[in-house]
Amino acid sequence: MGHAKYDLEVAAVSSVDIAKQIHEDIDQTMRGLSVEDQEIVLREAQNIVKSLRRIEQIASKAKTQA
Amino acid sequence: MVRVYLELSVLISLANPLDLLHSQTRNFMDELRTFGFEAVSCRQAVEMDLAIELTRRPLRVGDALRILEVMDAYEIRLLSLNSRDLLLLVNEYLGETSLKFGDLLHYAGATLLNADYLSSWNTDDFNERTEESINNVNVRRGLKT
Repeated sequence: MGHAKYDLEVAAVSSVDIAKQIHEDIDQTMRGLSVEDQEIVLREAQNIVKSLRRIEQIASKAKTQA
Repeated sequence: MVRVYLELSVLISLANPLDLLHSQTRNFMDELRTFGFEAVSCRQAVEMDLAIELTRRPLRVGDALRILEVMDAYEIRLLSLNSRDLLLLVNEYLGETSLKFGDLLHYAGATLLNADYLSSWNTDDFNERTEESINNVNVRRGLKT
């Protein structure tokens, strides 16, 4: 059940633990990179979230039409 | 208008009804609305939180979308900053504190967005002691403390 703490639908989850883990993962990714590379990572993160929103819009539209 | 910056732990607990701090977070958001305070977060910091976790850990797409949805529902403004300015500040903070890069993205976001308050449930990393280290840098750079 190592993944349980990341699953927001598992009972009694702690937002603090999840946020701490996420910030640690970001640290492992970003620390030591040049500022230029860090900028690229931020830009790619933005693209991921943009795609996520677009997928959601398409999925909602499909559900409405069904 | 008083500007209150929301860090990731607040956003996660607001998005999940089963979170230990969900009801307290909802009450907190209601109070912000009652007082007419503006709730904001840094776009780059939040996008980094969501993207990294989706790519590196099994946080589900639906969970990330729910965080974005509650931000819209509670009128939490996601404000963009110049990425280079944000990163240069984070890198300067790294020399002053042992906090993680992800924490510092939010500290830098709150600073550059001129937030009056920063709210977080993570009191291990967001507290008066760490704030002092952050403010040492901010004072040197003539930024809001």
